[in-house]
Amino acid sequence: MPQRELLRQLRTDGVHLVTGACTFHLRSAIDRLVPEFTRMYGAYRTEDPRGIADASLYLRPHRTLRRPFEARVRVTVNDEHVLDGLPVSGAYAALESALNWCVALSDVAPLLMHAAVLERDNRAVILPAPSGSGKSTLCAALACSGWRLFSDEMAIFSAADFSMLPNPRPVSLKNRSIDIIRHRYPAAQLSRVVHDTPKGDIAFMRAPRDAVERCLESAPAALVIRPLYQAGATVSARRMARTDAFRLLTDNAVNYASMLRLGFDAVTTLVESCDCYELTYSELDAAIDMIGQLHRAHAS
Amino acid sequence: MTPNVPEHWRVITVDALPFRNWDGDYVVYNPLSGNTHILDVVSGEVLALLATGPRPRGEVCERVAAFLEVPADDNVAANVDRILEVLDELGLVEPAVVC
Repeated sequence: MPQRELLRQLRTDGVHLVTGACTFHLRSAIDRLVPEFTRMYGAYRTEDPRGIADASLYLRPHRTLRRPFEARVRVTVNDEHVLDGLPVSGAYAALESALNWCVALSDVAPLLMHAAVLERDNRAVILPAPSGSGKSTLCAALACSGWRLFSDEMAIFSAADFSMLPNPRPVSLKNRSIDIIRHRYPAAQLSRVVHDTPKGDIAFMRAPRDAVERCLESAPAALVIRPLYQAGATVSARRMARTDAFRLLTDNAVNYASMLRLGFDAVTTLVESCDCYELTYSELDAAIDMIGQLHRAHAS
Repeated sequence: MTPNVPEHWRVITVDALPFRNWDGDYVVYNPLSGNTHILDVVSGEVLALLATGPRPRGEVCERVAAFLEVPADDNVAANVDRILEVLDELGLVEPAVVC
């Protein structure tokens, strides 16, 4: 869609963005969002904006009495004010934060976990870890190394058919990770860096085209790997006891408690169907190689 | 025998109590409270026995003694009583009325 047309639609009827497991209805009164949105989401499916969406988002500039000359981004989701504070120049970063918020609160599928998910040979690897653990850097590296990106932030497990659902969106990179990925993978498309956010510098790596085109293809989970970055460490993988894997997944699950019995069944299914490891690493190449080994070992 | 310990025990739900035994570690979900618990192997054995139906305390002691391969003596009985007390506090088991 030409940028001019996109700008017009965002200001009027909106756009339906299909990211895989989720569909978002987007409207925006911030025109400078359009170039980066086009760059990051140009390959995604868009549908009739009058259809059904999981969430409806609206971005607009907002001024306060304290800052009358400095417009900030205000995001409302389903007509409720959600996000405030980033300057208008950070509108794209605000959109990504709001989309994460929508996924976390959606009922798109039974189990949501803070985890990266990637797939190869129809077997998905779940990497549960909190923000700031290096998970997204490792995820970006894997996505640039032949693994299909499902998500860098939120794993979606469908108890209906025991599969991981893709929802590939741009990978969030922070601070040092930005230069690491930029230098390792010069062909990767990165957004403009937004400085001075609460988490420091942020940029986003566009999801590989293959991931976007296959965003409706689910896959069974095969591995749960908890990544532990330790400077100077030799790469090693330690098999986790199932109880520890259960704790890891429930600790990172967003909606485990609210799912009641379904949540327990979902996590126990994952633990019993996956090989579970703790991966310690300091070098990305070594981590990628080890994950590949564990993945091949699961298949044999 | 610990005084005032009920003689018969059962799990709190008529329906099957969801739990898993993974290499001696038990994870169990309480559908009435919505809580999830991780139990040690002996507590898990007690729960697994009671999940098959109400049991007298003596039978629970015998089961635990057999599992641990020790005599069913006062030590075992005291441990069983503590386990039953904890499982009761967690809301997983309750005294059973036997007619």
